[in-house]
Amino acid sequence: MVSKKNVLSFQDIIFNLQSFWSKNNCTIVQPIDLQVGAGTFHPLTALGVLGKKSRNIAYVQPTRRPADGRYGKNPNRLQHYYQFQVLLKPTPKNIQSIFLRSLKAIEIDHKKNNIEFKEDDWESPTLGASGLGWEIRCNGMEISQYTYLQQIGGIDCDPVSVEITYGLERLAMFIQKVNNVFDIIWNINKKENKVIKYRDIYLESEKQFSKYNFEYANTDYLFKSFEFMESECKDLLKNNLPLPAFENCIKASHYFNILDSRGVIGVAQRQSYILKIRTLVKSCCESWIKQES
Amino acid sequence: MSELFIEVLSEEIPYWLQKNIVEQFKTKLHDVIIENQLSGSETFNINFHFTPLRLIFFCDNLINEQKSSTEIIKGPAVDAPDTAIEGFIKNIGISKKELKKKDFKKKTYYFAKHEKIGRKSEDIIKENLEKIIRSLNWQKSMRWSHSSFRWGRPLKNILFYFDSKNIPLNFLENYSVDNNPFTISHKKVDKELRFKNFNQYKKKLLNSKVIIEHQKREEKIKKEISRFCQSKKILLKNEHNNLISLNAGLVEFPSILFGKIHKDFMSLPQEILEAVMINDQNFIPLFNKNNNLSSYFVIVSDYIKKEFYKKITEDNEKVLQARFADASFYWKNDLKIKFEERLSLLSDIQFHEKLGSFEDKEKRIESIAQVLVETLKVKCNSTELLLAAKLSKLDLTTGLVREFPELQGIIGGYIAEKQKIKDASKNVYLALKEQYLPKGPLDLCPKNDLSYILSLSDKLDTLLGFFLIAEIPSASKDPYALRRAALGILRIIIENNLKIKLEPFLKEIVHIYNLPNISNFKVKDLIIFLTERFKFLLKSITKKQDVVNSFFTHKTYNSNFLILYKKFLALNEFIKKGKGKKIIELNKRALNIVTIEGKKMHIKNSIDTALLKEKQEFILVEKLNQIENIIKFEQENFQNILNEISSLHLPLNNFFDNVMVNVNDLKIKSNRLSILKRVLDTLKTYADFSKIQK
Repeated sequence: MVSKKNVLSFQDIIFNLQSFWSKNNCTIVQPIDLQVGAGTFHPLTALGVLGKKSRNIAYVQPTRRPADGRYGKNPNRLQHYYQFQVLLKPTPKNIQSIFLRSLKAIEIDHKKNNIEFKEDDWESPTLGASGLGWEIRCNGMEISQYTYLQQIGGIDCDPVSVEITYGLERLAMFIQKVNNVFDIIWNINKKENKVIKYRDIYLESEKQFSKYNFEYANTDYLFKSFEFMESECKDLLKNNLPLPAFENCIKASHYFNILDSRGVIGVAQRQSYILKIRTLVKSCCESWIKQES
Repeated sequence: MSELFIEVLSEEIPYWLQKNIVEQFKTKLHDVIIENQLSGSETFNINFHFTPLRLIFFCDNLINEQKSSTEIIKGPAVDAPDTAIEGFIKNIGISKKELKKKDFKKKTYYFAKHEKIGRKSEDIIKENLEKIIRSLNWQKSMRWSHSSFRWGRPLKNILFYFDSKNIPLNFLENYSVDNNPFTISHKKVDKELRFKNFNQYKKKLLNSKVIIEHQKREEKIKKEISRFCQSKKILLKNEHNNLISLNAGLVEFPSILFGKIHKDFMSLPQEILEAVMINDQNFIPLFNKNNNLSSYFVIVSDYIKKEFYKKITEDNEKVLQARFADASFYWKNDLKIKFEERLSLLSDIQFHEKLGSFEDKEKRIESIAQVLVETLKVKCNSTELLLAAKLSKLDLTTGLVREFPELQGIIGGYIAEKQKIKDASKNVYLALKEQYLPKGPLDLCPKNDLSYILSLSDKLDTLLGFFLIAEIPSASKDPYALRRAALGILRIIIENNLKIKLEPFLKEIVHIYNLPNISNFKVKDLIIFLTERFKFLLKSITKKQDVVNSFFTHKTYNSNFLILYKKFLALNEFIKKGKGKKIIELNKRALNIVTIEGKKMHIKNSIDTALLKEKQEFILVEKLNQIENIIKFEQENFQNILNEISSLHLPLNNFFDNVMVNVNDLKIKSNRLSILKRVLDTLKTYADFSKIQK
């Protein structure tokens, strides 16, 4: 254990990354206020990577993966967690060295650790997206994902963006040298000499949502909602409203994820749902890019 | 002599792309140098090296400038139309005054003296570099920034040195690639390095922690492992040399660290531990003298100062422990359910939309296995065989296999063994563990009857199934890994000495697939596919493309691959020997005569014995008859057949020495050509000897 006084808290990690990227030409935006499976779903990224306009943004995105919940019992798994997302379009030339400096801002010095760029090409079947890049490992542990986005919604990205995603809990566990995600120090209130841990904020929520995701979510309602969101998305697209249409896509995708964790979707059915979402995303992207150009 | 040196700097290129791309680049560069005659000696060679960030090319025997030369070019006749003459002048780029008149075959022509001025080597290479970088064929590539240009990962900089001088490459601007006259050190040293020539470059890089030679990085890893192993009395397995190459391809300067597996996890099945270490982390496992996994493993890090070794090792151990804890959790959980009870879960896992679930697949494996046993006439306990087939896919429903798919089969074997399934013996457990072997060229083939029958049945089902639903691999796509399945089938057949004609066998089992339109399916297509894989296999065994080509003529069609294999091996041995070489020689001589004369006259296939005159003719024809008979009767004794073929040598040689083919009597000439043709045809029943290079 690192001495508590000097440890970089979870919120410090966020502050430092925000301030680092702010100094490096990024606008710090806020998360999308919907349940998403990855920071890439944020419309400023998912749609923003298309079209010619340059764009440099960074934000924290709360992320939901219903099937990853473990009732708060697994030291490494959560159904709700945080990603720090950076999107740079077009890709700056010296982006790798900027990235390494960003790690230093959260006390990971690449000269003192083994930072490995491990081939990891990224694909999102629901977003119809793909990219080439690496999983970034620090002394064997994955801390970040670094991708040159090539395609989204089946449309080629031109210019190409780079997307960097930091897994904040993983980073915090590494920096604070803790073995259990719930032991992460979120904040040290120096005035009251009080330590707030991840456990204090999220353990109960993990327990309740795991129950919801695996046992209690009303599947009839979810199936119907999925269909409703799908048709709403299509209607909105007819009226050239890709942004609200895309939000309905995001909702549909989340409902699908809960259905999946409830274990009520068979293998073949699963493919067909993924295809449905991808088709919606594709239409949103096409509509959006038409407006952009 | 001039020195050429190029460094191509990119962001981290995946290891599996590095070697292929550096070789392509080298070949293209080599071609530019040869085509433009820039080489200064006959034994011209380009040295190349690669690291994850760099492709490096070096060569020190180029000429500085092409040689200038003068040629005299013949133009149109003096009385040719003006347009023709003007065209000629324009082409060569001289004035009419400079033309000379000269007589040639009783006519007067214009002649021009054309001076070809040698160009500077650096200019020619510079011009061609753009073409080279655009024409490389990446197996996987990407775009970045604004460019439509593709490379494995973003291309950062190209350095081009000629005669110790940096030559700027202006075209790089268009690709948003730098053209700095310096290179960068290892990232951790973080310096710009300037130098005068290749030697200095290499030295400076080494001082700043970049070993440019892949092989030297491998050697460094091996040496340090070997030192460690000696001190701990443990071993590195040969089969892990690939893992060392991979690790050497991921770093510019390997720092070798040694970690230890926590004793709590050492009771997990060894394969699980190995798979986690290798597949997740590229760690290299080490073994005790008795071949059991030791608790030590190797971590290859990119250059790191010694003072940080301890912390980095501990961090890596921690990551490994978390993964082992996951595996251990699944292992304990999976053991809670009785293995046979998983049978009901199999129908939920789809194998392929059109080929049904894994339950369907398992039933087909049972049927195929039974037919196989009958066909091969192997003594195999049929209760055990059916049991092994029934259990074979059950582990697909376990948490461990979901988490570690590469361990399918092995997990099933372990669970069955641990739970002591009724009627199962050690052979059954082994068969379960070995059912996917061989997966790659380095894997051993299963040898145990039960194991290879199960493996063969599974692979045949996969291959035949996908062919039946017309999911056939294309040049670039093989999503169901059918090529690998085919290679596995062939290896099992030849390595276990299995006599089986696959064509009738496949016809017999086609009906077990509950599919429409089976009658349209041509088994022959599948045999042809297997034959192509077989050629590939033979080539990878012998490394001799020419012998493989000579062996497969358009007539070679046989679905008994064991026979083909034996026949091929006999040929491969035969041509290494003196008698084989003599036959190649004589075949060439006969072929020359028949080809040349065959253009002038028709050569009949049959020999007219009435037209035989000389003693040597009679002897040769007699020998041919004898050989043809032997080929017919000794169908499988290939050494004998080849011995007979080589006995052609003496009579054929005597024929060449004593019998004139090119005689005036056309009937006799034609008949003698027919004899030679028959020699060729006879040899060709074995192989096309003309395709074998010396």
